[in-house]
Amino acid sequence: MMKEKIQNIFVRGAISPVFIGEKIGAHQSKTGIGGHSIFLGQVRADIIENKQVIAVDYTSYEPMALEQMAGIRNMIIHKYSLSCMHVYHSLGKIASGEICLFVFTSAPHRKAAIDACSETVERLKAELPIWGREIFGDDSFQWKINQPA
Amino acid sequence: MAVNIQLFGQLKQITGVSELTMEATDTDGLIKEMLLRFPMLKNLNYLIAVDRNIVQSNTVIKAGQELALLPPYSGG
Repeated sequence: MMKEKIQNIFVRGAISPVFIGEKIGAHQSKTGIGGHSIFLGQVRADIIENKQVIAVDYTSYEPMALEQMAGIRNMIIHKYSLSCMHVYHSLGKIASGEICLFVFTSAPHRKAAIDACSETVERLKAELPIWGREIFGDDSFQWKINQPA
Repeated sequence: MAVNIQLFGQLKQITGVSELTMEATDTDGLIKEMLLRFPMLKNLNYLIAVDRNIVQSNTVIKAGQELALLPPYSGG
């Protein structure tokens, strides 16, 4: 089997809207692209037993997560014949309202870009060893559980 | 054989350690030792990774392999 190139997806802290904008801009020279699809995950201020989530603290088993992501990436790029694909996930404490996940797929036509983006998000949530600890205003916390969709 | 195992997420928080050294020759033995030392992990769900791949059934541990205990994922 071809050995996938291991790319780092982890960003310390929140993903800034400026960073996202710059990544979009960086694709202007790739004129074979006809459609981009972007998913942004944002930390939600859930209310649980009258306490509000003020941040999520993300940790990961990083070497394994990066290897798993390389496999997913390789498979998705080939399946949808993507022009390119970029994934960024935050680590550390991300405040409610901030962006913690940025998935960006590009293809000659929209459907491939959209479907690839969606499948990547589902697979990374299910397969990457990343954990979120939801922190409340009074410093108590609970471990996040991913919802099916 | 003495093996090192890394703990993550809730497992790390509950045990208070991110890495442990234990005597084990296979993954079932490792879990048994682990639960003897940390009975509070008994009702938690987790997966075992050997060299960064999840193993579903009992697996012989070879010297130098990277072992990790992983609670349910919640990234994204």
